[in-house]
Amino acid sequence: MQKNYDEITALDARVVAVTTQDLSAASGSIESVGISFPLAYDVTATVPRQWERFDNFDTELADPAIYVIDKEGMLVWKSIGDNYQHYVKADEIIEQLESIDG
Amino acid sequence: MVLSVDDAENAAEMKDALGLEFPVLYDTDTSVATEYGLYDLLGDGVSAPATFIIRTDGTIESALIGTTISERPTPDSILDVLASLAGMHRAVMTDPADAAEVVLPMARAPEVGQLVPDFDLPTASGESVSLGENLDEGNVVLVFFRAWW
Repeated sequence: MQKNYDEITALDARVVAVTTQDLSAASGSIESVGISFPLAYDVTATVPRQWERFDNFDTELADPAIYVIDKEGMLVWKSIGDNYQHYVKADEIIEQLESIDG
Repeated sequence: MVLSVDDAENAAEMKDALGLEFPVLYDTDTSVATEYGLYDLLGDGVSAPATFIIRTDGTIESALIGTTISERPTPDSILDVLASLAGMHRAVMTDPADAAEVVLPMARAPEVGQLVPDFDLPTASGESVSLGENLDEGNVVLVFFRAWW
């Protein structure tokens, strides 16, 4: 994600990441990964629950998901996958961001 | 419904001064505050500030207990909890004039084409991350993130 972060911010978009994982463990990992976008902690998983992306795979974690939301607050694209290793190529996200303004 | 451990006269003055339209109840013997574990929680001889959101079946949905005398949940955070209990989402709102459109009856998770619910969460360094504030700045890529992908 980080390696594509500059490309996303160049499109005048923000990245907001939410994790339900333990604070200390997650921050250690973040330092090691070196991400520069805000990582919000939601230890009660309120947000993933609201988006129905919590513990669908018996991991007691937020399920991986990526959403593109336009600045009016409207959801324009989502990629939620059907397993906990779900991953999206950054190109797809960038394509979606470009289509909003295009 | 509001409970105060102040004496009735002080509490009545405050109710008038603030023009409160909901009932303010006096818990001058602190029995309710004690039962909820709030009395003298902060070592100051009064009830700690706390807000409970209670479901219609009498169970507690949300207990928001202040760690300082001035720490209170924002009205927004309370409305978010109530909206989620009602099966609704509070949409991100940047203009208060849009208030009439804010509470949208939605089938839980937002679908493409729908407004998304706002949230406000802390980072490890204690800063606040608000989805709405980020949307004020531009489009947002929201990621539910696992540290060990």
